[in-house]
Amino acid sequence: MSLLEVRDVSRSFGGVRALDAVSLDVEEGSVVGLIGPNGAGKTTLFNVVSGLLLADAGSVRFAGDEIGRLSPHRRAALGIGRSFQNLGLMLDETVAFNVMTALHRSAPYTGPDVLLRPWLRNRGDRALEQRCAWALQRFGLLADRERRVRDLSFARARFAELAAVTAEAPRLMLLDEPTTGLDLAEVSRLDAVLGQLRRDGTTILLVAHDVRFVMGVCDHVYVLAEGRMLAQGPPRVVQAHPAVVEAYLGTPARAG
Amino acid sequence: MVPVVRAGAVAGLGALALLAGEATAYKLGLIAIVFIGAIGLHILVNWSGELSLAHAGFIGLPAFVVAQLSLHAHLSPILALPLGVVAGVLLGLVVALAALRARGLQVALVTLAVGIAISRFFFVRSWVIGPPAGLHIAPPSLFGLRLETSRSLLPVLMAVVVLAVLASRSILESKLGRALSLVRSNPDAAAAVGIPVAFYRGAVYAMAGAFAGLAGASYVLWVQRISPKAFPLDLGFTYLVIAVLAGKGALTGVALAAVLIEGGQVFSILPRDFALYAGPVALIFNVTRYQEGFNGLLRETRHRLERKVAIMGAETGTADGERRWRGWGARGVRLPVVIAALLVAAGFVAVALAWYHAGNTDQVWIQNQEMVSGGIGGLGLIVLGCVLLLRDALLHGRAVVATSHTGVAGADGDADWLGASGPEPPAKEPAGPEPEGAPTGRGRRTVAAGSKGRGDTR
Repeated sequence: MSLLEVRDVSRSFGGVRALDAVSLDVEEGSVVGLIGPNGAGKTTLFNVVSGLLLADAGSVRFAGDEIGRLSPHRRAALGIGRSFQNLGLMLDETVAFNVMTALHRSAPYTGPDVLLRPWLRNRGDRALEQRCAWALQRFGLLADRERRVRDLSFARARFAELAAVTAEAPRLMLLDEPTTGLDLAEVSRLDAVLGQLRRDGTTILLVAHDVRFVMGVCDHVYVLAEGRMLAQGPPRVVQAHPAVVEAYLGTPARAG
Repeated sequence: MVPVVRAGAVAGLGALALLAGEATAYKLGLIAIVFIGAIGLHILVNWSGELSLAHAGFIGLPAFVVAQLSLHAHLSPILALPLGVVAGVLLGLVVALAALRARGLQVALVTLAVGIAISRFFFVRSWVIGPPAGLHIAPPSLFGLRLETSRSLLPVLMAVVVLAVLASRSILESKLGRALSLVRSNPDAAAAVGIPVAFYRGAVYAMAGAFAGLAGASYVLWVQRISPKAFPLDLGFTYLVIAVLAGKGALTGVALAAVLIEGGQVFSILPRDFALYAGPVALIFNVTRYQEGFNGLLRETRHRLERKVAIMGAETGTADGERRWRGWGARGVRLPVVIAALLVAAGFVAVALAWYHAGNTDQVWIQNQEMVSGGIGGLGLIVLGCVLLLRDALLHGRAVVATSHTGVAGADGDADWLGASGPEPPAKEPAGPEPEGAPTGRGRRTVAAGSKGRGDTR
């Protein structure tokens, strides 16, 4: 049984079918890539999986349970974490504050405790700070923890978001365009961190434009075009798939 | 450092307030009550990005609940304070039900409608507001002690303020505050990290209601005479102005804004309609130009100072102790520092004396004289002393920076290049409270400007 099973999911916006009977499986412990041209429906699929959008039809199962109707914060509680294409961070807050916010679910105290048992809050937040430091360390952001996200370079802000997602240690991480805006050295750093996460047992589903990065890091690749699943398989197979070549490069012009 | 200074300042102000005479104490209490009420709107507006134009009703209705209860059930208003909080929470939940269905501008309309409904429906019923002359409540008593004067009640109110401050700080500096601020800036991201967005949006109205209810109950406790005239609809806008002026962040901004707006009104330093006219202007100014209010200003100043101190610290580490002025003591106490400290102390004494005198006279003109001579004079002395202290610290640091740098910088001409073409030419530097362009030599300045520019380009 796969950790995530998406079956025949469809979703329309007005008259546009952003997703048309899309199916996808993510095995526990694997890194799965999702590529496709602009407007293929990759982010829509992410939103359907993380719960920000509801599918019109089809089912989404996580660890065997149907989650297609659950609200996003319940899905997060089941262990689905995600990053956003345009940064799900508070730009005016510090890096550490952002990561601490992402650790909301892990805080070992409840809302009423804040007023009734403040010592629990103090102790709990100290524990969170340690986890936060650990996550920032991983991305080399420890020195920037007290800087505002707005003052960071885009790549560092991107890493800050990834640190926030990894700090929570979700079972399934959905990464939306993690490589956008990164230079080569940063991509290889990301590569290393993803490898480390995978060794820790995290399952990753990622969307990326950088085909070479996807082919290098993923065990399995899905290709989405115009809302349909075009091809899937191990990276090498997908790369050679005629339909993929066509979608990315266009059909060869015929002579005559 | 900052927490110590803040705690010291708060304790000092508290001590001053206890010195105040009856009339002043009464006015101080009014400011404190506005501060409590503004905390609620601060959480709602600045931390959660919600909006409420019904804050006058949020404060007024619980106030009447408490007043009626203490009249009919003969409950001391002090003991009825929690009931005010409960009434506020319930009211907040009702508004939340409506506001949750709306977004943005609609929320403003919904809450405005609630505010109007409260004033048009509840504030005209005699079972709510009592006789036309208003409700009179007997002076409260605590442990058999009758607290008839504002001076004797002030400690009680101060305890309430401290409680409110502690509670709101606990909320804001916990996962609740963090969740609220993420819900404000990016609800989708908030949902994706497991924050139940709708729950938090609703809860924040209840929180705002709780603080508003506490403010209302404190008002009953303090004024002991209550009529709907105390809670006109535009009071809600005044609170909104206070919240927006405060900006996102700590309660310091709220306190400053409350003192400015309400303090300006009760002490008649500002014209009575100041909030009415300045409010929209401040709002426009804030929204267009500077969105972070007092808190943003404080943060910015602090960052600048910290950066400066960091630069100084880095440089003094390399410099030898020889450069320090030799004065008394091992670490070298400098004469200007002593003078500045004395000035600050004298300023506090002057303020305290003026305060005491103004409090113990009924003559408004004497009060005003005291305010001007002692208050403003004392504040002036304090500011002068602080500026001297700062100037000394900066000059001292800069002298060390300059002397330790001339060798390195002069060798490769780096400093001149940075000084000449840095992204922030010294001439354009804003004239802040700290003496940026204090009388240092031209040659020394380039180094400081250079390191500042370097810091900014990152």
